[in-house]
Amino acid sequence: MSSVFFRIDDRLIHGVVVQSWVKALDIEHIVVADDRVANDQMQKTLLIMAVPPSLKISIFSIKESVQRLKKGEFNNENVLVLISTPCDALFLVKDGLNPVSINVGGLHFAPGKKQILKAISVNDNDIDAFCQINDMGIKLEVRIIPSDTSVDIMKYIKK
Amino acid sequence: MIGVIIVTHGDLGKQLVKTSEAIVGVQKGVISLSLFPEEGIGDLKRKITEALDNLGAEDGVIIFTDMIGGTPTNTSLSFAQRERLEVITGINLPMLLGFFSCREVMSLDELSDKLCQTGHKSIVNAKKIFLKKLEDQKNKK
Repeated sequence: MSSVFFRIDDRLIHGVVVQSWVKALDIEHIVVADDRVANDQMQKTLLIMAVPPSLKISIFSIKESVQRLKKGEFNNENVLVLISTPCDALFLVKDGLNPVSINVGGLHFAPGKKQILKAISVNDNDIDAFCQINDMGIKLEVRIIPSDTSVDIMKYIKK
Repeated sequence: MIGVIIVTHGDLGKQLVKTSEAIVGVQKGVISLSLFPEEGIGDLKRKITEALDNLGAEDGVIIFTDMIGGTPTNTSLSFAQRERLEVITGINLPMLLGFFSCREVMSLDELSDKLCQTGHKSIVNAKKIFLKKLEDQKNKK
């Protein structure tokens, strides 16, 4: 049976994704939903290079990703949708995608952010987006690698 | 399960294991051994013997080392007469990750061959490949 798995990770495709998640979830197709990357040929090429030839990769703007997913374009495949920010994830679910849960895999530290877990740092916009997603009944589970214990991010966010 | 011992100069092997585990999770049946400047071949040989005893890997063991001709490799080769034991030098991160993902589905021989290929294939001029792909992508448009 095919399934779609959503992950928020500001590095998008990297070792952990290709080596661990793809194998653990038997992923056939990675969809990168990111406006910045979709408009940057250098970044696009880098991500295409980062996946093994056996794996399909598509890079679309967030809007186009939602449209294609809603149309059921990937219905026969196990798909991993990668999103780089909580705000992008919020857009995705507001625009009509309705996953049961979203994996939070990596939000790295930057000035103005507060570290709440080992690989998760958030600012006010991130917190607001997480709260809105959570309010829609979508579970936000933190796991960097598949074998990590799943943690509900809302336990670490103070509204 | 096939066991693994990584024998290197200094902490190279320990860090490779640590980094791999950050990617694929904590692994069983892994021992890394360091050779420090003050240590002799006898010390290292004893450590490898202990590691082989402690590993208890029923499907065999691969010893990875860092460089042909170096003491970690030379000392590991003193165990070459043992059965179900391979010594592969030139360890890198793709090889170790490949080991962890295939150790339970391949025989010792198959795995050893595959990991040597993985190692060879992983050394490329990344810049050249990147620029070529970038060019290809532009031409596609």
